[in-house]
Amino acid sequence: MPPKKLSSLPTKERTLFGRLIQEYESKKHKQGLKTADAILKKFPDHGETLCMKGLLLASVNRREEGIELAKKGVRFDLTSFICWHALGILNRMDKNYEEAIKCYGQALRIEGGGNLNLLRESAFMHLQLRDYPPLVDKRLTLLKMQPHVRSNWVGLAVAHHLAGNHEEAARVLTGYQDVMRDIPKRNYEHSEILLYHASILQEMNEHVKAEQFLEANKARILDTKAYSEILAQSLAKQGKVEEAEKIWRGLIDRNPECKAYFVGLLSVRGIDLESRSDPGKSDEALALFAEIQEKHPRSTAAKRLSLVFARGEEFHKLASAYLRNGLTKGIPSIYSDLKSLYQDDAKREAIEVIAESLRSEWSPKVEEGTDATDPPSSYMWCLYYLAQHYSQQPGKVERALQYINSAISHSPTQPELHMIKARVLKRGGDLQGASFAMSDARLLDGQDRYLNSKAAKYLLRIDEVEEAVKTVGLFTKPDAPDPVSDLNEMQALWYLVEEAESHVRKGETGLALKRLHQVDRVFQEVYDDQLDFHSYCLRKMTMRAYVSTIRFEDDLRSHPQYLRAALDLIRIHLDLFDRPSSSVDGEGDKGGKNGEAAALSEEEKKKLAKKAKKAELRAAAASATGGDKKKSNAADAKASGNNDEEEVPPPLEDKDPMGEELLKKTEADPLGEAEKFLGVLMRMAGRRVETWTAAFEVWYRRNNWVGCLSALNRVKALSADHPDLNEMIVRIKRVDLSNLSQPAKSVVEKGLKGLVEPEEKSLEVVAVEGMQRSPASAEHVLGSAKALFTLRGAEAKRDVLELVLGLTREEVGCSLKTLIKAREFLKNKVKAAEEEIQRFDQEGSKVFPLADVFKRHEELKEYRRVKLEERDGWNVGREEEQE
Amino acid sequence: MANSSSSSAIQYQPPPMSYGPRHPAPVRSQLPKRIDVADLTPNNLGQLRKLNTVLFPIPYSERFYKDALSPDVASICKLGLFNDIAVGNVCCRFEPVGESSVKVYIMTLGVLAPYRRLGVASALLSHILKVAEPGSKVSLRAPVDPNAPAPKPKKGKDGKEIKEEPKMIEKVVDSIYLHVQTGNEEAKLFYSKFGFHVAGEVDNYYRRIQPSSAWVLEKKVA
Repeated sequence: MPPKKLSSLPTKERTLFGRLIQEYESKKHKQGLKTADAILKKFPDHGETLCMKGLLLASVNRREEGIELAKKGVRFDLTSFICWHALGILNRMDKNYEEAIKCYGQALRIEGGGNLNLLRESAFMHLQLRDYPPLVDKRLTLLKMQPHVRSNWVGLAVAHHLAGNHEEAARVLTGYQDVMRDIPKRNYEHSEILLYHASILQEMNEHVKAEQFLEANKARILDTKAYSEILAQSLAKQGKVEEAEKIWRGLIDRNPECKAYFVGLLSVRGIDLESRSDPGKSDEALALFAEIQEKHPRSTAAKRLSLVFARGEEFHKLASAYLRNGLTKGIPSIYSDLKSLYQDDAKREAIEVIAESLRSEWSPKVEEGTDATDPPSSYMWCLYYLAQHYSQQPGKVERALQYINSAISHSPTQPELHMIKARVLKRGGDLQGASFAMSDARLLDGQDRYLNSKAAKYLLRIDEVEEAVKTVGLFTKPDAPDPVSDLNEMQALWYLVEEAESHVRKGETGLALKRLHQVDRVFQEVYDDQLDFHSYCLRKMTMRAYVSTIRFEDDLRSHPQYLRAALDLIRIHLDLFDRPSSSVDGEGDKGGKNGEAAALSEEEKKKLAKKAKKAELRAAAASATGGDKKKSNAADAKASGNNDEEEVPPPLEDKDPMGEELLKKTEADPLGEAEKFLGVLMRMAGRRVETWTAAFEVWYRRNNWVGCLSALNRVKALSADHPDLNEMIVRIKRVDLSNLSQPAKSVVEKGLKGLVEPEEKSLEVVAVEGMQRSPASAEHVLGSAKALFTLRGAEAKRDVLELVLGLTREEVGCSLKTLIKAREFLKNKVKAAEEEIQRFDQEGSKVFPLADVFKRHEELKEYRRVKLEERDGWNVGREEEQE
Repeated sequence: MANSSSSSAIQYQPPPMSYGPRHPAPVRSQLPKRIDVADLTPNNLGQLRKLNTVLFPIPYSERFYKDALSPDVASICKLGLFNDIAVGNVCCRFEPVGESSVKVYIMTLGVLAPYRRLGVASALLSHILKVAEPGSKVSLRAPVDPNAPAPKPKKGKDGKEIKEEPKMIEKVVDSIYLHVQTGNEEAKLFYSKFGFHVAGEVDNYYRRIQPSSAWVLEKKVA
């Protein structure tokens, strides 16, 4: 590329500049920096050199400095395409794609639009931003400039495809196949393109064309599995049943464990996995499976799918065989394998009968005999199965505990048994005991990271954060600054969320916010990481996988862990809004422990106060020069850290280890922060009712009544019988609208009218409606109690108490989760007296004797002491001489 | 409990909380009954601890577990697995006899009650007899002279320290022996099948259990 501006430099420096470009391109960063400095010594205002130096600085991990320098450079030389290109690259490195596109655009304009590199780079930026029309433009330009390059054709086709223009995409691919004549035989890239073409035809519902296309190109398609799958689908869609069935059967012969093939075969016969209620269809499916099993007797998929369709006697027979085989072989996952069948009560009961009869068949014989027996391991796995089976049925936790304890006394060394014991205890509400059991499992098998992670998670559930960090630290990288930063780096979402929730319970809001923001960061990183694939996949031509990746990234934040983290964040923000001083410490529920934690963070706070002040000053300085706070933090980390110019980026120093600054920032505008996450949830998780109950809470505090009404309507649409619905209606109906302007008022009033039918129904009636409609549902009773309290406040205390206490009656069958929610409501909202809470706890512990929420502090302490002693009994050998 | 009405009509007897020894009977053919002898590692040491607390009335010291992981005894301290479940263990040590020979002392050998009579203990003992048969040679690390100056750590090409290979010396196994509580005929019978004989009796061997005397069972070179 001939830089126009070089004329402004004398010959000597011009040569130096040429060398500078070369040194940058061959990645000789240190030398390049020296060369740049040599030019700048004489011409400190030479824009292009400044920009090149900026690029080099960024390459040696001083990106912030680099960007500043390049911006300065551009200002000196606004008409140089080198400057704009360099700044564009720097912005891309900084993940500032919008800015990058603008810079590339400038550079292109100056250069006359013919720079391939710039065009390609801009196209990638457009893709990253999902800005399809300009993407198609750029791709078209590229193809026109270089029609002989294969990836340009495919690039244009993908651009059309993603933009939703399938016809155009197919047309481009056809054009490509016409142009590309001399393709070597057995070329995988070409084969992928053909399959991609076929899949586009399929998406267009052009099944005849897809079939013809596949047939015509059969010789060139190397991935015969994908070929058959697409062909079978297209044939089925055309109603060519027999041909489709033949192909599905062929695929099953290839891989008799692939569920998708069975689903394909069934769909040809007009059966889907959901249509099992139709006995005729079910029998047909069963016959089909039986036939396949004759050919493939080892196919587990066929056996498992049969269980979906079988009923009555037939189910009993098949499930018996399936369970017997799984337990004899000792397949630990067999319960989670069969759990989905439990939706059908009859099947659940049948499985219980089968498992119990196996238990009695395999139980150790009391009398001596010479008959051959089953291996004792089968019996152990059977107890293990039954413990899990009972643990997920209401009111059978104690039964489950008997089974798992029996299994542990039978085979005490099996880690899985201790793991299930932990799970059973957790379901019974005994989080302390659960954590001990899970740690026992871990101690039995120290090299199992799953057990290690589970043990850490259970420690977090009882707020033993320090111990949990130590535990996960057994597996994290030894050279990481600390285990948590490694887990963050490794994107261990579960850990970040669990730790955050523990901090919420302990009232350490800053740390909770920090971890939850780290979760958000992880998702951003996952999204950013696709940038490399835009070019990589175009080279590898794996377009089918690429398009599905792009679509996955589009919905990335609908991931359940994201939903959980975002809802947690919103809840924290609402809390901060409701009581702005809550960040100091949480109210200590269980006494001492929380106090300690608060004291610790208090001490930590003093230390951090100074640091925070300094950082703030720096941030202020940085924002004055245009960089935002986060960036300046990173720059500072670099400046204060070691200054050696290693090519490997050193880990950035954590400027806010306790999340104090984040908390401060958040406290300034909690609702604004909440709305950011709410916005993401509304886009990504609009089908989840939690999103809209959260939206209601946020908007209610914003006095955004129209918003509240629309959120309410969404809640209604998604779950017409939502237990909290009536409370929300009561709350919004009581809003004082007198301050609103007339037009706004009439809009809100109109919306309010539609909420209740008939309109004149009193709020008293609305409040108890949920409870009256579903008197057997504890959730609804609690919902009505909340509504009553909202309506009449302290006046309703007596009624509310009675309702909530009533939840603890055995026949209500209230879940532990709801009881805990009810307890929180009593404590935090109703502000019930201590003895009233105690009464609730007493009643609660009658229904859930294991649950530690209902236990007193001393009781829990004693329990802990006993557990620790038990642990000592086997895990820590005594320091005494043996004989 | 809540929701008791929805539970099925059949009430099953809950399983027992303890299990006695398994009666002698073979496992049916076709069914899995794999027996393995597995190494002890720092990661499965918890299983050894658990087994010992269940199998033996004596608490073992931390020293016992530390020694069990020493490389010298890696071949004679083992876990017994039945279908991949740790159900038994054998832990032995070498005791020097004169300059050139050692005795093997079986400190523990036990199998969980529900997994007896399946051949796990036999597999463990056969393994010991295979690797430390009386009359055979075993190779042990030479004792380090505590007064000798520590050798300078050598460094490899990559600058990392190379651990020096410990010096090995060969010793002859003189005999294998163990203690069994006096009167435990079942155990005596088991060991006699492998060629052990009663070589003596020690009074007041056990401190906490009765009878407190023990037989010494021994196997020498055939």
